[in-house]
This record gives sequence, C-alpha cells and structure tokens, in this order.
Amino acid sequence: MAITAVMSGIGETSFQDLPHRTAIGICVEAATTAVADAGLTMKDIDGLLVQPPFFASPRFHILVSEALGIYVKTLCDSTSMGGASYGAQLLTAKWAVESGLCNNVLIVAGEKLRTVELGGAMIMSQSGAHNMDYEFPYGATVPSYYALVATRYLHEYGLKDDALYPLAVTMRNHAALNPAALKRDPITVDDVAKSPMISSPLRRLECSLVNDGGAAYVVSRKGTSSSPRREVEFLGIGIAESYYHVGHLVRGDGKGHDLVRTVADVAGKRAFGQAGVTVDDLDVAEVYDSFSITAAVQLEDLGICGRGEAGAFVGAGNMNIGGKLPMNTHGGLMSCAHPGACGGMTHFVEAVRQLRGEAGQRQVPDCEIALVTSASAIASNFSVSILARAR
Amino acid sequence: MPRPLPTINRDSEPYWVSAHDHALKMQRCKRCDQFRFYPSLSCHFCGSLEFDWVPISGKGEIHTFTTVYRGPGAPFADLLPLVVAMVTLEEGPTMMSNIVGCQIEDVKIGMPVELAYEDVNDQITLPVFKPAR
Repeated sequence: MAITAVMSGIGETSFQDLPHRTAIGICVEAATTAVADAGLTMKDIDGLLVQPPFFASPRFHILVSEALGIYVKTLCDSTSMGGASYGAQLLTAKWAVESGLCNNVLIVAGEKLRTVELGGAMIMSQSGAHNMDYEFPYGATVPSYYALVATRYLHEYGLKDDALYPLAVTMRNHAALNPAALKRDPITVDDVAKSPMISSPLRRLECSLVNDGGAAYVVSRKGTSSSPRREVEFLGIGIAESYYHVGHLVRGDGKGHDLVRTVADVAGKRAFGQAGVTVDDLDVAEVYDSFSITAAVQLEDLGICGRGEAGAFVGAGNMNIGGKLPMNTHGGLMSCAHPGACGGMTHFVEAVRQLRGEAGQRQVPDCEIALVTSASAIASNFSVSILARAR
Repeated sequence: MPRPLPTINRDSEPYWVSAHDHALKMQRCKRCDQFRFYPSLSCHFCGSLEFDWVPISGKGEIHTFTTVYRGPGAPFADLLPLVVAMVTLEEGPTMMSNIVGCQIEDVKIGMPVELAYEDVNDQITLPVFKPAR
C-alpha cells in the first residue's frame, strides 16, 4: 500500500530575545518540542533538513544532528531558498517519507537576529543575501528592495501610499490574540501612517520584525504518530522560482511575469491542482509577510483577490478572523515574530495548530483546509502548500 | 564600516573599466543582438557565448524607485536619504542605480534620465543617473 506522509509534530521557541542561547541551541529546543509533540523520540528521526542561519557552517545540518544525537540519517541537508525554504523542505520530506527513504524527517531552523546585534545592511554585506556587485553598492537595504516592488505596484494600479496599510492592521489585530506574539497592541491605519518612513513608500509598521527564535516540524508516515487525529495532511505543494536581480525581475519572462506579477501563480496552480480545491475551499491563509507588499502580491497572484485590490480586500475585513478567509492568524512576520532563518516556519506551525483546533482564542471555527505560502529574494521564490486536517 | 564596493571579476572587468573611463559599455549578443546586464558569459536570451562590448547611449527611464531613509548597519548612513531606482535603458536592460542631481520629491516613475558617473575611488566608478536634459 502506498505510504502517505503527514505533518506529525510542531515546535517553537519563545520569540523574545534569547541571549543565553546559541543558534544551534535554539534549533535543539524547537526540534525537541516538535519531536515530543509527535509522540516520537530523536531515535525515530532518520531525516533532517535545516535552513542555516547567516554565517553558518556549510555543514550546519550535520552540526544540528550532532547536537540532537542523530547518528545515522538517510537524508540530511541544508536548504538555501531563504524564506521560500519551508514549503520546499516539506516537499522533499514528503517525497522522502512516501518513497520509503525515511520514516520521520525533522525540519528545523533557528536564528539570533536580535541578540547577535547585526543590522540589516550588515547582514547583507556579510552574507550577500542580495547582489553585492551591481545592487548593494547603491545603498539598497532589505526594505528598499521590497519598496521598489511597492512603488511600482502602487503606480500600476493608481494607488496611494496608504493602500497596503490595512495588512499591517489585520496582522496586528490577530497578534493581539496570540500570547506568543511580540507586538500585541492594536494599531490603526493612522498609526501605520505615522510610523517612520523606512524606505518609501514602506513605513516601519509595514515591515516585519527582527528577532530571535526557532521552529521545527516533523513529517512522518500517516498514522504512526502518537495521535493520528492531530496529524495534518498534504493536499498540494507547489514551488516556483524566478530570478534574483531586480533588473531581471523587471524585464520578466514576456509571459506575464514581472516585478509585481510574480511566479507565485505557478506554484499556486500546482498546489491547488494537486489538492483539487479552489480559493473558496480554504478556511485559513498563512501568507509570508516580510513586508505588506510581499503578502499583497501573493494574494493577487494566487487569485485570493483581484489585481491591485489586496489592500482594499484586507481593509474590508475579508481576511480578519471571522471574515471570509482569515489571514496570518498568529500575527505573521509583521506582528508575531520574524526570527530570521525560521521566520516563515511560524506560518506552517500556525496552520497545523489551526487544523488541529489548538489555536486558542484565535481559532478559526471548523478549520479543515489551510493555505501556507513562503517567499524569498524580493518577489522571486515561492512555495505554496495546501494542508488539511486529518481525515 | 566603509561603503561596500563591487568585486571586479573576469566577466565584469570590461564593464567596470568602461565605467571608470566614463564611457559605459554593456554586452550585446552577436547572435540575437540583445543587450544584457549584468555582465555574464552567456546570453540569457539565446545562450550564445559570443558577444561584443558596446557603448550604450546612457538614456533611460525610471521603472521604479525608493527613497531610503533608514539604513541600519551604517555603510550608507551618511548618504541618506538616498534614491535607489531601477532604470530601464534605451537598449533594453534594467539596472539598479541612484538618481542624483535633483530633489527627491521630483523623482517619478517614467522620468527620463541620463547616465552620470560617481567616481568612488581610483578603481571604482559607479554609473548613476540624473534627470535627462
């Protein structure tokens, strides 16, 4: 009989400053929580996928396995897809389990973006997260890359600078319901408008947080965890990557993709096609939100709302808890936490909680199908996952 | 922390030398005649490895831009606010650059711009853009 893979366990650390922990220590804490959540022990883990933090050894995945005491692995690797890694790793893990290569694959990442005291420009300059020769010398910061997308987006659809402020407000309202979120005081669009301009048109409250933390999940054979009813099934996973230099993204592929119309649609079509569901079937959407614009273009590329309509769609309450399709119920990267290497993993962890019915005050009633996206390298690399409650 | 500067390699040397000479050149494919940027061995339109280094007109327009107000990590702190823009050249390629020689509030999408040169040190000159005359 064919093997079916499921998500069997999830784990997170605190997102508060973790000066007493190393990055590997953060990974260990998150991994231990996730493996215990699945009702497994480290002896059951035979696959390990990590997203290394900045400055990590190229053998970081082996170091993590040493820390966890996993001697023999039949799959062990680091993924370098930045914020898009999390869904891609799930696909690899699913393949590994369903092919019989592994029984239980642990996916883990952790980072100290706050207590290591590195500014964004420092990180870029040391790690080359963006191009060091033709872009960085012009003073491009991480927010300014996304601001280039935002300026063009607002121009193309004839929108004002405040068009995407509702995304920040919605994320904050949801974070207010999440005890683990870092920013829980409700905000209004006026607060967003009054927050400092970081890189026009993006204001501080449209930017994600920068903090410490780790997250992990386990992918196992269906029915083998301690509580199969808490397992979460994969309905579909799609990945699409385009380019890296902004000039190349502007030029696009001549087939409808460019700086503000990303290849997330390709990943989405694959995921929805495999799942055999449409946007109308979704109960919750956890959408990678490094900046307001990052989430906005995905909502449009995935057909959740029309082109140029993301801000108005969210502003009308459609993506509130209690609305048509609640989004980023944990508060997202903008108000819950953005702990670097594991940032987008929090979206998957939250989706699993929602599908299990374990999301507390922010629980979406009768949550059966969840969309989770991850993205990286401006608006160029995406994964789209559709997950479902165990059936 | 000093301003980060490009590393010159065998693919990019003619580009940076032409910038230093204030006569910017880009690669044009010998097979499909497309200009490309940034410098690379192969044409990303047709795959040909045959190309010429050709002077560009220096004329282009702003496709998108941002004014950077805050840059944690310091290398650009004393240059802020700074306009970072994507400029689409008459020849086709789009490149990141800075817009200089005008007020920040005058920068607009679609604005015609022309090439200028910022000599950063003895070896590196950054191509930048100013409003077209």
